[in-house]
Amino acid sequence: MLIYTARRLILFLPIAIGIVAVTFAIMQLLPGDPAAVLLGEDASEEGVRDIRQALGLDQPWWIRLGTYYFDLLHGDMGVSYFQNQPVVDAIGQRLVPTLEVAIVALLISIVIGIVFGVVAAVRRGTPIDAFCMLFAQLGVSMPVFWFGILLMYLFAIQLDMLPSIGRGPPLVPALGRALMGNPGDLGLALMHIAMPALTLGLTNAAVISRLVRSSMLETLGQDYIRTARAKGLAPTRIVLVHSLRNAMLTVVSVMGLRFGALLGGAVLTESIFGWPGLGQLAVAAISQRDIPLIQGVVLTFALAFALVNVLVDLLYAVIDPRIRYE
Amino acid sequence: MTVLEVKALTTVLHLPFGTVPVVNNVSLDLHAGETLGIVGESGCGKSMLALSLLGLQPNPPAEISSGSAHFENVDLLDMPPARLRRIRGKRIGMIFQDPMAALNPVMKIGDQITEVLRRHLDMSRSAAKRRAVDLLELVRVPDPVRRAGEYPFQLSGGLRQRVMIAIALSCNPAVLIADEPTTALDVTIQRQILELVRDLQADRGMAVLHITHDLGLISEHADRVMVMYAGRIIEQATTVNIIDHPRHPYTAGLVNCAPALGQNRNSHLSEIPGIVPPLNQLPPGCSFEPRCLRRLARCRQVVPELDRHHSRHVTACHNPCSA
Ligand SMILES: Nc1ncnc2c1ncn2[C@@H]1O[C@H](COP(=O)(O)OP(=O)(O)OP(=O)(O)O)[C@@H](O)[C@H]1O
Ligand code: SF4
Ligand SMILES: [Mg+2]
Repeated sequence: MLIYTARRLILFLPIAIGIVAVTFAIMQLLPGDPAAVLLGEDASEEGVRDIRQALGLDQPWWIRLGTYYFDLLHGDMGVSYFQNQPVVDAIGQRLVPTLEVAIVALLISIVIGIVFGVVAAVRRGTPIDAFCMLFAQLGVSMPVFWFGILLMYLFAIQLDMLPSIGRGPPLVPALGRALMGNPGDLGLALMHIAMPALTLGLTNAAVISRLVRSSMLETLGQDYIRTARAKGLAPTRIVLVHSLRNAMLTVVSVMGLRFGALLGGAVLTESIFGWPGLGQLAVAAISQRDIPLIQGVVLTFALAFALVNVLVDLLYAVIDPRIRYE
Repeated sequence: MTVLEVKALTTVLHLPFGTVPVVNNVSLDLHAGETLGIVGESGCGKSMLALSLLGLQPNPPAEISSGSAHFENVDLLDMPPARLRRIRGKRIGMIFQDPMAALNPVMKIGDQITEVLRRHLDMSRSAAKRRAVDLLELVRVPDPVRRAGEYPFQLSGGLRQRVMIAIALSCNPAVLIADEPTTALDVTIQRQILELVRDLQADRGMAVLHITHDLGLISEHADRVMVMYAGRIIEQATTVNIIDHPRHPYTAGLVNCAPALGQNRNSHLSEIPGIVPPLNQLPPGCSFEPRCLRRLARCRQVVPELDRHHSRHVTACHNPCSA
């Protein structure tokens, strides 16, 4: 397992290098001249030339790519045009809020997705199955933003139970204080995170539950399940230990790919609920054509996606010994 | 002493074109310490019979529609599921045709054994672990301590079948149901596995229901043989009688088709001309009639019953071969 982990992590290096290059290339292909953007419509030709020189835009692309790598290694992603701060700092401030929502949403979607999927598979063909799959169908076909607004209308406007926008106290410190016996902040944090996390979590739970159901149905028909039944094991043990663990192989591998959709959903969710995360930052950067910032955010998303898929591979190996021992 | 007494067991399949019997009115007795062989071509319902005894038939589409199976004076087919689960794996063990697929691929061998011990014998984790290693040793798995920590994909087919046997025998069952335990294995391994089962059976006085399509193989290992065709038992006798004096034309065909009996272990039964009719196209009379050289006019209309008056050698045929 150690060797496998090391190998996966080393393999991540060339992937990361490639991602940086692709991000760089995409930025070069964007229409519009950054210098012109900076200076506005009525810039003089000289002004544009000076800026281009100052930004190094007059250099050939391979020098600029090299500089980009070099700067990245030193933790430098350039300076945002409009935020008056280094891109790294802007992203750093927004990363934690996004991770908060993403992780809470992931927990919601995994728990609900697995419970609904397993129950539906075990009770296949019954009204319970039908109900679970109706839920899944709704979740899959409902647009994220529409669902988010629906939640907001219900809980913030009609019931006035939850704040409609913004983030509460940071979740992790609040959790720490709650453990020390001071739960006030945690309550506040959870009230703020509830709707964005539910929006993102429930739509993903729907996808996961369908996936879990179908792979559970497949494993439940396997010979080793018949063996488990012939051993006289209790049905719960057969389902949870013998079937679910094998079913999770498919689920985990698909979930890595689904993480991209989760990121896309995060951008929308953050915009709806005014959540000060990367998604919002990305929207702002794009609308202002803040090129260094766009580049930084895109790179962060891409690296996160690649990293999650490395984690998925590791998780896969934890579940499946055949991978580990290869 | 009879340990398992099956009476008129019928299992049906609910298929798109209708409901058809796949195990048809099967009765059998299994005595302590003996090996009863069940022989028949692929698809004749052997596995379905074996699975039905423990309520393991794939449902849907299979469903037991009538009959009884008394084991230690209680009917396995008419018992609350929780009670049946205490018999499965404990009093009746079962091993399957394909050892490659029968073990959980993501669970260690040792754990797959200990979970039965812990379930039925209420053993502690450490005691079960020691016992699992003993069991692996019993079924002659070399280096049992190391093997207990390995996964199925690290074992050969023969070793996996030994592990299955260790699981099936872990709680000292009174009956072992072996559904084509060696079909997937090569000839040398086949012999070793069957010898292993025979030795363990002798030590424990266990009854074995050995299902196979290989008459040559069964002739060496069974005390009595039942021949199955299209879901029905069509002949039943001691192994010697079946081999030397087959009365049903189908059995006679099988015996002739296995030329050097006892040597050609891979001989398949399908060498009788013709094929088994599909379940939905069974003839109204004798199922073997379309392939039978001894058929009479009424064979086509009247299903032959087992002639119970020959209690030691029964046949379901209107025109049996003379003894
Ligand atoms: N799940 C199922 N759905 C539909 N038909 C089935 C199913 N399982 C078995 N059958 C049919 O039931 C019949 C008996 O199957 P069974 O597995 O008992 O045969 P068998 O005698 O064990 O054959 P083999 O030697 O190939 O193992 C076959 O015709 C098979 O096609
Ligand atoms: S009953 Fe008739 S058709 Fe059937 S096996 Fe006997 S002789 Fe042949
Ligand atoms: Mg079979």
